[in-house]
Amino acid sequence: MRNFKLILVAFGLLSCIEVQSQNDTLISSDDTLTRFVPQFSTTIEQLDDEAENQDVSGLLQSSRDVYTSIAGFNFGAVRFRIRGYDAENFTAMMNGVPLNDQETGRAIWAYWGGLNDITRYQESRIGITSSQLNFGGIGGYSNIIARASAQRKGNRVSYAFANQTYDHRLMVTTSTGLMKNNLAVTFSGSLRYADEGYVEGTFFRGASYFLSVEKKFNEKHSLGFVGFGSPTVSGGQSISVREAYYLTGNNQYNSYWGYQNGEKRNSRVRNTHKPMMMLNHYFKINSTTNLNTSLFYTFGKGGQTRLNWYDAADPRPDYYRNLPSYYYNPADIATYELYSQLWQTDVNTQQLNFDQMYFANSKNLHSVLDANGIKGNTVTGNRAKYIIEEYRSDVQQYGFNTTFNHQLNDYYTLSGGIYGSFYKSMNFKVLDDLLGADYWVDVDRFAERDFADESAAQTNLEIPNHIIKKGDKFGYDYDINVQNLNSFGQIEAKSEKIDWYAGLNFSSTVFWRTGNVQNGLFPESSKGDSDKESFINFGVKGGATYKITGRHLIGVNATYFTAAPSSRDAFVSPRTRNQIVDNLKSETTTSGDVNYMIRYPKFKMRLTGFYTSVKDKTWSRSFFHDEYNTYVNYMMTGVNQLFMGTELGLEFNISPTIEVSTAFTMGNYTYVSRPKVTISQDNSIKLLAENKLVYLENYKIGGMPETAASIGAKYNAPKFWFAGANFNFFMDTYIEINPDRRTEEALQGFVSTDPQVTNLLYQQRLDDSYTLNIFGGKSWKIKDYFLRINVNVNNILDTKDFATGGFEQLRYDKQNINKFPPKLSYMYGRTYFAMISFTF
Amino acid sequence: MKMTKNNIFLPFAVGLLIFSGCLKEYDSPPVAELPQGNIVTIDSLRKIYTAFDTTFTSDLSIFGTVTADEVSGNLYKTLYIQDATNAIQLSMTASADRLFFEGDEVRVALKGLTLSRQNNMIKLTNVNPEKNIIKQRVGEKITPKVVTIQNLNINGIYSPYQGQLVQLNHVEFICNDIWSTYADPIAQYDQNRTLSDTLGNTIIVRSSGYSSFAGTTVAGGKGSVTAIVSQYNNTVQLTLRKLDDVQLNGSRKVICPIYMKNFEDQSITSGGWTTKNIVGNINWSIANIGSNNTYYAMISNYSGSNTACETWLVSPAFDLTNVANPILYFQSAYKYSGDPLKLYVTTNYTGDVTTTTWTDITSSAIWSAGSFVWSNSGNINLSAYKQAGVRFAFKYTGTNSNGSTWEIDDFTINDL
Repeated sequence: MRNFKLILVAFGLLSCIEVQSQNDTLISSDDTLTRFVPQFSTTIEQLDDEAENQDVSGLLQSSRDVYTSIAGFNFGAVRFRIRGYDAENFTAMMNGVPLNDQETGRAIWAYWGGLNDITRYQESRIGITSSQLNFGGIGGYSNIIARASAQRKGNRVSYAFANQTYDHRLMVTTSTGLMKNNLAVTFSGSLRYADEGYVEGTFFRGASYFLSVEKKFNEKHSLGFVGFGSPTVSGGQSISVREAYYLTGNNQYNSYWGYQNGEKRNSRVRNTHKPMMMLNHYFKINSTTNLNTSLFYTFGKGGQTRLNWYDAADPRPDYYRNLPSYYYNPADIATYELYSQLWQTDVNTQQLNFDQMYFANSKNLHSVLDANGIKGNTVTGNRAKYIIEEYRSDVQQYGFNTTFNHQLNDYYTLSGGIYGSFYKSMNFKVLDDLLGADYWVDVDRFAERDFADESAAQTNLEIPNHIIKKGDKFGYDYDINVQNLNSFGQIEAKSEKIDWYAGLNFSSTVFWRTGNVQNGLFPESSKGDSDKESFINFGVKGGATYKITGRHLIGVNATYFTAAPSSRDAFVSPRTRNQIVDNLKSETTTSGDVNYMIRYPKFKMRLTGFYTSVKDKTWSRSFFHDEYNTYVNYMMTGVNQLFMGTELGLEFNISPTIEVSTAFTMGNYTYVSRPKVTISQDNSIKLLAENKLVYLENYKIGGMPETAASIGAKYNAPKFWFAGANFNFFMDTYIEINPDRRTEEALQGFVSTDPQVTNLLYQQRLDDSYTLNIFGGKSWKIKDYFLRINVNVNNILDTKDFATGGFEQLRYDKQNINKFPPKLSYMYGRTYFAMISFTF
Repeated sequence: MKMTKNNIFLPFAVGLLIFSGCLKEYDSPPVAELPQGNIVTIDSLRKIYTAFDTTFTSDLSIFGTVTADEVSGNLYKTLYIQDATNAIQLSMTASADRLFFEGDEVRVALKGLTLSRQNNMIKLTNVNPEKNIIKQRVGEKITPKVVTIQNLNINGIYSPYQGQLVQLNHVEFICNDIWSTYADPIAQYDQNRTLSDTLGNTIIVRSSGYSSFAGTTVAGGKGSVTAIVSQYNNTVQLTLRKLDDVQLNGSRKVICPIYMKNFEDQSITSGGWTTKNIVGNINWSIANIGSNNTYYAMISNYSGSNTACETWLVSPAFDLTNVANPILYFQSAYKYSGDPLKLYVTTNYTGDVTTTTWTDITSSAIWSAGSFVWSNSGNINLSAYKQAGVRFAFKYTGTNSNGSTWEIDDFTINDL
């Protein structure tokens, strides 16, 4: 009898531990991957432009779906995107409130980074799916359940040790559960720190906080408050050309840092803090009807520093004129070798040279006449040749979200909701560091040279020759306003043989630009409000699952919807003027998938075929063109994309302790139209090209592996420990292309036999590669407390030459394509993440 | 479990099949074709030239390999290309020193270019290096044609090898040139040097003052020279591509003087010459007045008025021990009244002209008769000085009331 009891207790404990340890693995891996830019990441090119880190892979790892969770764990490091979709197709929510950025449409992980104890509790589904929270897109959704009463009661302290974005993380979480006074409180906070991350010259300092309070008034009404934020300061990593990686022998070469007085300094410091607050009202009207309403408010700062220079040499070490290849000359190999050697051995050549910039700034005595627009006001001092400026994109957003669901009877459930948001981003530059100089003058250095009219050079006509000191706004200053109203309705039905659902969506989007300064080049169109662009969109979706038996199921899903273009793609040159892209229209998505699922206790499988067509997309990119000395903006309209492929997920419990799982996908993500591109300059009215036809059909969208496979095994020991490994294989990664190279104009002057034709049109495919990840953990129960240790080692074989993505530079020389080679990024070598946690 | 291998993988395999059938060719903008008939050889291109310049209006192309580039700076806005049939000069609208290199195979699109004759040189002009020249591949080998100087002679109006890369064997620069540099790197003038074969046939090597080897002393030995053949009116000349093209390391046929200082490097003191002011501060300087870009040493104490001076110009030490019949000769010219220039010799130079015992050999030389008429000194016998440490010195003196202007050039020591 006693033995029997003991066995029972042990069994109970074991099952509990098993569940726990699995969860912990999920948690730790989610941490491991937060730096990487996985499934729903931005394109690599925008990374170069320092867009926010949009990693939401963490949200998917704990998915119930085998394929999704394996992909979330193992494909993150290679910029994998589920079904090739961009991040805007995935909805991230908290308590049902969408968190996606209103300008780009993307969910931005960084805003709630470090709150893993909270974000772990979420519900995720991928693909076209029913949802009682909103209409959703083709990518699926995750809803973080931040309600205090839903948090597990208890306390948790954890410390993690890693070698990636950060080295140390301390996290504390406490939840009261629903107390006798009908109050529930959850607090979570964390600190993350790295003096220098995995990549040389990077650093990380982040804190996060989360507070959720809920008061249950009665069986019908509960009121909750949630507030969270994640102030983070971090140093950036560049993406560079093969030559720089080759010269340094380091595929994580980072051109953003350099020495200043013997100390490493990163020129790209990201400084963000965008807290969010929400009030939630949970109204249980009756046993079958719920009405949940939220009010939310977000505000805060998004800053990104970078170098700027005036009348001085480009300081970036990997700028093409600073690389040895620029000096390559078959008749004078010595010079080339000298530069190569210098680049390899002299840190001030290989990296930024801040001391040199300080020196240049200290030797530039200059007088500005009529400074600040005051006649006769002469300012004399060292005019900055080099500065560090901060690009700011501060936000303010408030809105409401209400969802309703009602279970009609045993078969039907109705749901619906309305979301409304008023969003404004404030975009401007602030002078961050004069690097020893006395002032900077707010004029466009190129416009100044090009136009006889002196006022054309002024970025702010109201304060000509504006003298800028540390902390002053300059360069540009505009707001983007987005107003969005979104409603949906859905019916779901469940029966013995068939489950089905159907949904409808209507939305209205209005956006406009408000210029806050009058630019000298565009005096008529830079200040004040632009035209208000408004879009009415709708969508339908539906799906059905047919249960052949309880074990074998066939499902189909389909959707058709239109979506407003994102405001970020809508303006020709938002930094300088109100001009809107010609032919701007809503994009149209048609998508469907077919699924075959097998569900045995010991064997689970999902096999999916999917097809998605996106039409009339707008595609925009900006880059700094040193020959024009300004930002050049590419805008493509009429971009059609096709995503099709298969997914397979398998899970097989060979024994109670051994589990084998597999995920496989193969896709073909292509452009299927000939869009038109218009190219503009920030500092000129004239267009570099207008409605140029781009021959883009059947080119790969690229930037991610189209084929990926993972096979893994996990052993759950009866003695409360587990260990496992995953082998992952990636192929068919194409680099993202420059549309301008696929135009008739680019091929002008060439004949079919010229090698330039092939060089211009060829889309590079990156090498296949594989990784091996291992993980393990152990837990102990000490009285009522649990102590756990988890360790993950990713890429244990330390593969460092795996290029995970890249893009063709928008600047190109059609005669010599290698002059501006593609920029590539490589996977980290071996990384680890080890965590110890204590639950009480 | 009821499933078999088949029902798991069959739909999957079917999916893959459908899927692979969907892979399509990449799109391409329309690309111009180049029909066979639109390709002309360089030889037939040259034959198009009759009496007048021709500007091409149709899409013709020539293919060729770059034989000479702009890297050394001896060519500027100019390339030479050659195919199996002939060669031609490309005269460009801009420099292409970072674009095209020797050994690049290129296509030249002729539309808009002009085939013209300038000073009897046939060339393609108006060539935009970024538009008209399209690189095909790199690293092509070019073997120069071995020819003799006689082969290069003008036949009719043109040299038959115009524009081609040729190699001359068993040639040497004439003695008068081997003490000079290839061109004038200071004033950046082009200069001619003369190559001679063993039969005494000569040809000009013309180099740019901007070339990287303009300041290099002409090679003194005998051997081979690789160069591009160009033509200026009725003169055939060679254009070097780089210093490596000159392989003159063998022993000469024509023996040159033991030493010559011709001042073509525009330096008074190069080669160990020194000057010394005993009185006043008048000094020797380089001049080329009235001598068509050849340089000499000059001294004058007149600048508005005369200044009293005594200035020495001392040669480096010569070892004449093993010279059978050493002689010295030089050129002189002068004008205006004043003390004559003195020539001294010593075998025991102390480093200080005032403490050295000098022998005055002024009277051994024939001096200029005045009016800046150059005079050869005649052979001054040095057989009394067949030893080491022999130095010569010119002493110039002037007073506050008068002084001549003296010019000295081609100071030569030879074995008679």
